[in-house]
Amino acid sequence: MPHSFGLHSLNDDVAHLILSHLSPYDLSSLAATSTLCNSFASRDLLWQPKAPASPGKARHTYLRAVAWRAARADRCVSLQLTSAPVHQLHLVPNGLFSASLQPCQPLLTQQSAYASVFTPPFKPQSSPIAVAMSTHPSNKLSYLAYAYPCSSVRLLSICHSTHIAKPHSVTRLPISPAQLTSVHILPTVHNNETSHQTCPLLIAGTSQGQVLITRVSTTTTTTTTNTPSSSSCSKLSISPCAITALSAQDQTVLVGTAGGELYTVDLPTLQQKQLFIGPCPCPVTSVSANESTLVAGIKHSVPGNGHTCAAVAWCTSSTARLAAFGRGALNRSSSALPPAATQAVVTGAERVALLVGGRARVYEMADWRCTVDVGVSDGMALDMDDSRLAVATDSGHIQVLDFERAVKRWPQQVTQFSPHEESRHVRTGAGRR
Amino acid sequence: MADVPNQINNITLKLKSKDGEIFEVEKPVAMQINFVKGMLEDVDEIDGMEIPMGEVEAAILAKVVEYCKFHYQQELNQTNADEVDRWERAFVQVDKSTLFQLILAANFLDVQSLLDLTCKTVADMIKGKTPEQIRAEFDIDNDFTPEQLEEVRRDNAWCAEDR
Repeated sequence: MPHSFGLHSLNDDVAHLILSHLSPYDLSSLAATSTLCNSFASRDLLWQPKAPASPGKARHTYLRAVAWRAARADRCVSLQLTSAPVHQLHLVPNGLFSASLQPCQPLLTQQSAYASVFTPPFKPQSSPIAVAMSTHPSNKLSYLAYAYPCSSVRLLSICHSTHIAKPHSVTRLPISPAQLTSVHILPTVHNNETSHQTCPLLIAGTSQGQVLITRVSTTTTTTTTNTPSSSSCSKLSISPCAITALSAQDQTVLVGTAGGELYTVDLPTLQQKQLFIGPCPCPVTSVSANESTLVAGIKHSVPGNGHTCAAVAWCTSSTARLAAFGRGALNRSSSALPPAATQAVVTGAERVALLVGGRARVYEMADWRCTVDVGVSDGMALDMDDSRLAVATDSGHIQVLDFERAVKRWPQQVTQFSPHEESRHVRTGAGRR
Repeated sequence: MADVPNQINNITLKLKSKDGEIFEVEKPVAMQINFVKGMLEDVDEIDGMEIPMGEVEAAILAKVVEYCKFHYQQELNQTNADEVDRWERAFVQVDKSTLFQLILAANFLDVQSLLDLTCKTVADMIKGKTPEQIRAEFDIDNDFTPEQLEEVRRDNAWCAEDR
């Protein structure tokens, strides 16, 4: 058998598929066998070229190890990159474990890293049907919301400096059980921004097309009983279709439905606006916005043949368009994936990241040129900021890609995607976003 | 070799290996190979057509066909998961050269479940082993200089301490 047992003959995607089954411990053993295996394993560990500076490498290695430990008991379902400290990540596995990772210091010790992995300080009532995470503008704490089938939402706050999680009172939503479909938590900028006593807004979507907006009391509780909060709740009837995706940008709530519709709700006035109607009832699986553009990931059924693929809808001040990805690597196995695996995120740098069909891709919105294309066979959640892309996988890894370094690694994989060939104008004259 | 049920009646397709061997395969079995499926979407008449299977050698193509046959039959018969698991474990009991060629073939022919199975098999051979054991398993030469080896050990010290 030739050197490195044949891995040298496999392409990146296949090698990654093998290595994605390995824990960081196994990867580090593999990395120590030979220079070529080191190159493969390190690449998979870091998801970027081998960093010349060892502190950076150590940091990412820790990051992955911690993430794996946190999540191996269950899958990752939500991931958020925060702006500062630069390398902070949050991971929310399926309600059984949570991790707040802060590996921004090169000399991070194992003890402090592992201390950041914790079990929520309450007994899970059942598997949550949706989770959401958001970081307060002060960047001192994050909120995690776990939504349960019984129409209640459990809120936790995590202090970034201490990694201590505090449970808050359970919010009972005024809807029937089993109607809750999605949840989002929005840290408010009101009140005392640096205190744990802020009043985040809990936004919930229902199967009846309603959006409920509740200002949540963050009184700390140590019990596991479902103490109803005294929060006031605004209930808005948005659509006849179930709400399938929720997000927020500034003071605007972004809403996606099972019927392919996109709405915004202005928080100060609670005024709603419909932006987009899909060509067929295809569920919106994620929604994201920057200052000028709203982007939605859609599990798109091609009329006629029942084939399912990924689509991205984007709305600006003048147009609303849909681009369906046709045959090709991106589309290859998307029909077998759960809707949650189709996720689109847009950043201020006018890039769109799309996770679908076992691949994470980044497109430049100006010309829809694909600048990053990597295989993540079990990717479950994705987030992106102006400099990094992060993907959480079903096997519990978080992989981080630095765009500056990605340019050096993947220039040969740049592919062109033309929305003019595979998209259609759906509706023009849509409002903001 | 694992047993493969063979009561499949249907139109047959001719799959041609790199070394020229023809495999006559029932259409529903062959359609599990996405590469074949994609080719058939582009042609009107398949009668008598030999479908070239790229760089896949006959011995490996035979394994791919065996895999597809089993899974086609398994879907028809609703074979229970334990039995499928047993069959797959037996199926991948091959030498490493065959295993890696199967990975390449599954990737090229786009048989996702076979690709997953074979990749996981290789991963299982790595799991829980020390660098020395991995070298022995896959006959890898240690080509690190002492300085490089020291650097690798330093980088991975966190892991060794934690085991």
